[in-house]
Amino acid sequence: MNDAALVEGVRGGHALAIAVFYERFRRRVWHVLHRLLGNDPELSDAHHEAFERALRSIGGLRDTRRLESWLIGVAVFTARSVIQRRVRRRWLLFMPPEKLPECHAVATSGESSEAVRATSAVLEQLGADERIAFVLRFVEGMELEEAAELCRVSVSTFKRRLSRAEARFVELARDSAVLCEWLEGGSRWGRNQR
Amino acid sequence: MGSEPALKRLAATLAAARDAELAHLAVPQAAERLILGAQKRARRRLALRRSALPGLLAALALTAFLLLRPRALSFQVGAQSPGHAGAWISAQAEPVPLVFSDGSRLTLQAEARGRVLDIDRSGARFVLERGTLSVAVVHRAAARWSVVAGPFEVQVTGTRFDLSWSLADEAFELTSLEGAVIVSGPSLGTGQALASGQSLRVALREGGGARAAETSATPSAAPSAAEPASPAASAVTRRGRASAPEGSSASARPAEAPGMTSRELRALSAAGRYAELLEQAERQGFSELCARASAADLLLLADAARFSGRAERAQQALLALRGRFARDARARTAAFLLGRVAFERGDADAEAARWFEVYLDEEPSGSLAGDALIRLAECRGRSGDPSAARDAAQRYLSLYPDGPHAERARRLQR
Repeated sequence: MNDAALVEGVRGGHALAIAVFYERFRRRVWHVLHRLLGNDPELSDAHHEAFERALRSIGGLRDTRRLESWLIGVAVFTARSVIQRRVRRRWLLFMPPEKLPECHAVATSGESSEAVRATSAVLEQLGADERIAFVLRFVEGMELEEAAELCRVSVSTFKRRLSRAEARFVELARDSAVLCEWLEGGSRWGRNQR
Repeated sequence: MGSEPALKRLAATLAAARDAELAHLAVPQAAERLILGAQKRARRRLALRRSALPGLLAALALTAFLLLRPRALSFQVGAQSPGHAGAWISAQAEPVPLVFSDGSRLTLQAEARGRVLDIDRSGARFVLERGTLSVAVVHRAAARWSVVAGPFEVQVTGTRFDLSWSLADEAFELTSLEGAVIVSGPSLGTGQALASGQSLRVALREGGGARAAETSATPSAAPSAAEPASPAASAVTRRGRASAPEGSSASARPAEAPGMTSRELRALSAAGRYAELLEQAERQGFSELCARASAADLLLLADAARFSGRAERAQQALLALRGRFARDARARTAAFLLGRVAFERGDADAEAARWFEVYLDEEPSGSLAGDALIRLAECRGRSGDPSAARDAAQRYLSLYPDGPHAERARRLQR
């Protein structure tokens, strides 16, 4: 079933088309959400929510050839909502960031494990838009244009978000001894760049 | 470390950690849940659509009504300036056109002055203070236009005509160029219809007789067979007001007193034969006539008495009009005329002032309000009450700063 036929079937609410659509993209969506949210307790719910959103809004998809990138964009927006909800909940419960549920990272070595844990903690403190920009560009390695399209913003807007994310990341990373060690020798975020 | 950018190393480390983590996580398999959810939503949408259909249709009908309902007309003065009801418009050396949103056009000729008094979806009411107005009203169903010039009023339903009003001479002149109009006012009774090609002139200072002339004979100009025209206004037919309240019901049942019928009374009035009219009225009993005549005929009777210099008979007819037809619009005109009769007697300023005040109370923005105010100021001044005279003059100037009596009002203010 090609993408156009698949979209047609999903729009019509046909069970087979929905099943094929889900099966074709569930891993890709899962991957993107995990990149953006980490091993979050809400990851499974976010995965389902992303597909629910996609089914509700697929009527607005104009170019069926861009089905996959459109769906990834929906997943990015779902992750954004999850992050925002989490921030609101944090504010409502007056939980300091250090007391937030820890994201368990599987590390390859002791040094890396510490760095991953520290990076996750710093990312957790970024705003939703900055965090998404940072992960898509630096962790996922996307081109600026591609990442901007997924976020449904212009490249220049995406660059501004990325710039804010970088500055905030460096500022927060300086409070972490592990990250300081990692960053000191680097050319991008080194102290000499301040 | 080394020369590798810190960003790439850290990001790569994080990506590797996330990939390793991902390998241990099972990708959800919830297609069934998704399908069930989609089907449930589809059923809900269908039910909602069915239950919302009547509401949706009603909303559509309401929207259509709001979009398609007739809106109040608007107008422009000259080429571009938006016009506002109530604002005076003066033409200097050049004519000033007022173009309305329905395509109708009123043109104030050079030196003319007037204003749009009211405007709504059916038409507008225009007051011509002085000069000549050229009117071209687009014919529409339920169109309602009128032009007031001094004590005269022209009802228009889609026609072209030229209208002149001279305050100094108290002369009214109308030439119908296309379609028909109905003119009401002193010596015209309940109204006279003018068809295309006909003209009408009424000069109140010269005795008030209406003179109608047919400038070009056309079939439509012929008088109605059902309503024979008056002798003097041979080309002018009389209007019947089906919906006017008290006055017109009386008008529909004219006084058929022995000696003079309502029709004869109107014919004599239109011909300007006031002495003869009064003579016949006296012969059959003036008081009896006042007790039986319609509001329109009483006004004609009062006009005839005024123009014949019989002030007491004019007052009698006007008081009868006010007493018997208190709710008729002509009762308010009668109050002004009672003031004017007393004013012209020269020895009844207090009485005149009282009647002008009655008129102003009953018709504060009527077409005769300016005249009533300036005469009130003069009455007060003549009766030795300069303070009241100044007040009335001040009221006049605040309402008509550039009015035809503004200079007199300023003098009275001093």
